[in-house]
Amino acid sequence: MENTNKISSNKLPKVPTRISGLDEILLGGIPENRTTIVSGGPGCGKSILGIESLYKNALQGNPGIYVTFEEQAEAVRLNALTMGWDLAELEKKNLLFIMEANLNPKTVISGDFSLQGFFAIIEGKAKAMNCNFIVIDAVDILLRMYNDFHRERSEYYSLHDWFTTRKITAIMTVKSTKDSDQSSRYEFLDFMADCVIHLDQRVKEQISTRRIRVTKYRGSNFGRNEYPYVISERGLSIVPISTTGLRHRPLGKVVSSGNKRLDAILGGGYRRSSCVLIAGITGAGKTTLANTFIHGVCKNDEKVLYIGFEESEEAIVTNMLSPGIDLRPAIESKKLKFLTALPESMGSEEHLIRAIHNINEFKPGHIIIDAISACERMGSKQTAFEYLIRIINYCKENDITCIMLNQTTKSMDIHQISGMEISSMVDSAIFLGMVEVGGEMNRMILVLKSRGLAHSNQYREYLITNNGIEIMDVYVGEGGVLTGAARQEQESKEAALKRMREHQIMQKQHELNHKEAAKKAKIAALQSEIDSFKAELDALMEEEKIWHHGRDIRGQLRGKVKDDILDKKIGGSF
Amino acid sequence: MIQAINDSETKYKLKLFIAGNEPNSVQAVKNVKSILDNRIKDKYSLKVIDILNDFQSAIDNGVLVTPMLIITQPQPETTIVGTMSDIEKLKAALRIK
Repeated sequence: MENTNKISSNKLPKVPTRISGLDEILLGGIPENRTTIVSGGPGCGKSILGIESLYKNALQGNPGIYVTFEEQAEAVRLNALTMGWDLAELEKKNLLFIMEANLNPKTVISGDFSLQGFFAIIEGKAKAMNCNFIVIDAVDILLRMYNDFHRERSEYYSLHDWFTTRKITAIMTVKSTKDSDQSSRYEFLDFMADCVIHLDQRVKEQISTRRIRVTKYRGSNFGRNEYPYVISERGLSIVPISTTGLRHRPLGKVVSSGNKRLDAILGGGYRRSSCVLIAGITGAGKTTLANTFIHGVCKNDEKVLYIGFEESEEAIVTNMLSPGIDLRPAIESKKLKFLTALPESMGSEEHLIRAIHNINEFKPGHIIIDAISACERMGSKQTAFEYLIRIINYCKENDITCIMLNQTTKSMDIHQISGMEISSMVDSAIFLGMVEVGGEMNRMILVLKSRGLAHSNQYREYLITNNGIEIMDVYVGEGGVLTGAARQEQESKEAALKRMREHQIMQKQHELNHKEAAKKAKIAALQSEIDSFKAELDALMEEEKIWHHGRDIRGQLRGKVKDDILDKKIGGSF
Repeated sequence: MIQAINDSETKYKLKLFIAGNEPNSVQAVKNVKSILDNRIKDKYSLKVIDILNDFQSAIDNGVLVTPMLIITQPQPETTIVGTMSDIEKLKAALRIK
């Protein structure tokens, strides 16, 4: 591999294992030219991890050597074939070499010996194949020949040194036991290796679960949690969702819930790639609501994967015919796919990986989980939570709408709608409740949450009819929300009261109009009185002016003449 | 490669795999030859194979550790690993006194 020399200043060169999910935890792969220890108990897949990594790298043209101390080469080939890996084909192309390192059990030991033979074989073969990736399975069998723990330990170190000096990327599998004496004996391996991966298989409540954990990685960060994995017919699968919580896509566009009225309540519909929770007691219509949605989107050529834990495909298809939802065309046109299984039938990782394989292959735009309340039967509440959180995450990362149904035990308890502590992941929550009013059960729908959309916060009554779900008008009255016959009664009462109120208002309006008119008339009369007084006064004042004016003229006329005569007399005498 | 072959009356056939001149291998060659020459001189054929030069032989014979002595004759085949410092074990394997 040429890129060995291109060591950048901040990144450790890595070799991808090409195992689904493992490279994500290792942030790229195992350290190049270094030793990685894979430890685990019997049957947890150490050898498979090694073979799968070799096989997948060989397919990419990177040759590798598999050294087995426990199995016959032919058995290794046969086992790999069950996963669909044709090792013989790669061996022919010189991309893979299986070294059967079985020492005759009758071998007599006489004096000291070394692993030179082993090294010589590997070195010779690696050079011949131009290979620097080696998996050594169960090397402890060889080293136990020393029958001396200290010697055994020093040989592990010499193996490690040998790989390091030869620039070989190695995976060594080591058995781990519950026996504390044994486990402390091999503790040094964890210190010696550059990268340590632990595989663990445990049985809890009769269901076996497998966990993988990276405990050490010199010079690199890694996902530090325990991750569930399965050994399926396709090899090892790990879903390292806990490392990836930050890659959620933003909520997508609005997609219709299949019911116009519900769309209006939701503020438009569901958001694409969001997580929708539909909760309610049995018989509330959760499945009907989900299938209403399916029916709508499948018509628009979108794909839906239905993960069912409660009913078979046939049962769902038949049951949905009663509310008028025919799923058969969608199934026939391969728009709708069912994935049904009893929760108890396998561990939660297998359920998870089965679901994810199906999502990857079918590529649905939306998935339905019916119902999350059944997931607890996969083991415990914790496993159910892990299963769901990983599914939701996977959907959110891949732009898939995830509609989850949940069966609640109480008919009107909106606080326990999720029951799985996943509420914070839920973008839209719809609660279907049942209330008993006046001797009948009535269905109520409430949108508790509709992230990113303005939604109604009111309870509404709905009916499941031959034409699907029918949501009634909202009733907002004094007595709160009413349903059924009581609602109709209340509505007519309300209508009468309303009419009365309207009548009263009209009367008052009339009265007011009258009074207003009367007052206005009075004001007008008074105004005219004032006006006439004013007019009289004006007339009188005018007369008075004229009279004064006339007197002045008269006076002038009289007085002037006298004065003129007087002036003339006085002036004339001087 | 060191060979000591005596064609007539070859009752013992042995293959000794060594790794160059590492101390264990040198010791083993010395020990094996000394016993054979002392006890069954002219009755054995010993083939000493250096796997550092011939790794394919190591693969073919399943030689993982060195030194390793494979006694192919007399039957059944016996394998002894180590420096052969324990003379009694080698003698027992060869069924000689």
